[in-house]
Amino acid sequence: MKTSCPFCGYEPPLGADHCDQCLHSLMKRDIPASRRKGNVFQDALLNEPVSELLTGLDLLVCSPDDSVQKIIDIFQKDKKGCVLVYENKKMVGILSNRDLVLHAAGVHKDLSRVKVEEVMTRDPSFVRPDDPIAFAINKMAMGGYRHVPVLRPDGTPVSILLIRDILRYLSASKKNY
Amino acid sequence: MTMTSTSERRLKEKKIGEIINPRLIQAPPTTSVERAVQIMRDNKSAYIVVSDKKRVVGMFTESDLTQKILNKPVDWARPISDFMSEDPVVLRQDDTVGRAVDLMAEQDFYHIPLVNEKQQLVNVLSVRTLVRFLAEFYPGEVYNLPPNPHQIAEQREGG
Repeated sequence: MKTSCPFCGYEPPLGADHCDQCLHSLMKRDIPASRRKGNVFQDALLNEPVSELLTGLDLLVCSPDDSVQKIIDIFQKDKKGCVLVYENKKMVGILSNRDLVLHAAGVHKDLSRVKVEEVMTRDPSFVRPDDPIAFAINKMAMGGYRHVPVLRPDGTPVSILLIRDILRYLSASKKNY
Repeated sequence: MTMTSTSERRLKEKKIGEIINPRLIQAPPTTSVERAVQIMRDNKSAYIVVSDKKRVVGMFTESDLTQKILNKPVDWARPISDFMSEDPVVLRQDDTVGRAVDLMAEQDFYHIPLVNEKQQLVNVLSVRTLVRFLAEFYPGEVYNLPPNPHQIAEQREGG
């Protein structure tokens, strides 16, 4: 049995993961189909990408050496509650209101002397902009997170997805039928 | 988008009382900020329902602490009633889950105190509980995912 590349028509060896001629991927990303046929909303959760929900408004990035006091100043000024921590263009952590309450408030008296890396959550879960919305809900439900970073494949940040963005999406979808 | 599925209708009919877990962190309005922070840390809780003889008088949350207290010359012996949101929105256990989703989507809170017909505090609904419920609600979509969706085979199969 021969298969041909759907993009250029070249016939790569059976089972190849990409086309030698045009370098298109021949791998499928296996996302299970909804078992309930004709269910528009469920299909949307699986097929609509996370990027549909992104505003980009909630993206803040800091370095592990920044002081916690500086971060709180910015949270207060911008009414934010979460920042991604980057070092050498790689995400190393995330710092949210939750980390401040659990690890900083009342533990350290002088927050200007506390570095972000001392209280942040290391190596958080993240999603990609083209991941289905269901992925993000999965991360939030399994990990109990209220914020999930959205990163490009090269690791650069796109946005921070808030649990509220998901609720807004569900709420709006619900009203439209 | 149009939706006619049964699960959306169920979302509108499902009662909050059927999904909550029995955990409620509450404290009286006279509680000091110092003590409140300790309660939140000990319980890993993002909120305290401020109650006075079973009556809900306010909500004191993570963001009240980070927005109004940290980095500021605030005496931590002051009561949380000085910093809480007063008279928060409450729901009943027989209100629908869909209503809670709408409220949290529109407003800037993540916890809703639940009261009985006498307006007495009986529980709280957190966004965490809500999202866990939603994940179970759409199990085929949310849980039946590949364990590592970003995994890419490095070599051709076989060998």
